[in-house]
Amino acid sequence: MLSKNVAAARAVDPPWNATREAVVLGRAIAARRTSRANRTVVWMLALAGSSLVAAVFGASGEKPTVKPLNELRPTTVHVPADALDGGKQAG
Amino acid sequence: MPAPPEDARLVERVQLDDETAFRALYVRHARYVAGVIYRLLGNDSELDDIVQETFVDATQGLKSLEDPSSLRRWLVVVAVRKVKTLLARRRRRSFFRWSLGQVTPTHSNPSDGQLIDDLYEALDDLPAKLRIPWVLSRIADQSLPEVALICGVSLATVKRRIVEADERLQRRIDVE
Repeated sequence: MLSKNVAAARAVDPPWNATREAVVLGRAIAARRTSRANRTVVWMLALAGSSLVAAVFGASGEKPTVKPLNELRPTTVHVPADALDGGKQAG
Repeated sequence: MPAPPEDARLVERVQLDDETAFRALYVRHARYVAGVIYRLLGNDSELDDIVQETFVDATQGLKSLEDPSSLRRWLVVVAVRKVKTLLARRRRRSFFRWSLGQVTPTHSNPSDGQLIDDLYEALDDLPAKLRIPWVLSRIADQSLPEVALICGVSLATVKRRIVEADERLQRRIDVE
């Protein structure tokens, strides 16, 4: 009895034609493009993230070169060029 | 299963994101893959979705394809994975029986239609690990070594599963 069922199932042609094939191809191509675009965005985000991390923490561990505004700075006294000692003493 | 040499060239080009090559690859194999999926499911309600997902996923995973000339088998392997997931989902939702009643295969002879419906109703009661090798071998006409490769199990396991499926289907069909 099972052999009859099998023979009947084998005899059925899959409902697949050129129109259906073209529609599915169009959808598959669109899905591939979307997937590729998503992968590009992920890569760009990963790159941006790694750049940000490198900028914040510093790749070599060096201290930042910008000095704080309230740091004491050495005072410079300008001596006129026509001073009596020739400008050897400052202040 | 034939291993056309042109497939190897297409695989190389698809890996370089060549859309024309993807179209060519699809046109070469879509009908065959759709036929296998249709026979595994017994209806065409989600045939389009599975064919689409199979080609997209299979071509994105081409790096894991060791022998490019065995592309057709690779496509069937991916399709079988998709079908397995779908069957599990249908089983969980107990939806498949209703769906089968709504969308039946296209038959020329109504009595053949009943025979096919009876067969797929019986197949619904089998776990996927029995159903898939049985359908691939008995209905989709794949050789036993090919079925073993597609299912990722040994030849002995495939034979044992097919025999078990035969017995269970026979009992079920005889009761009906």
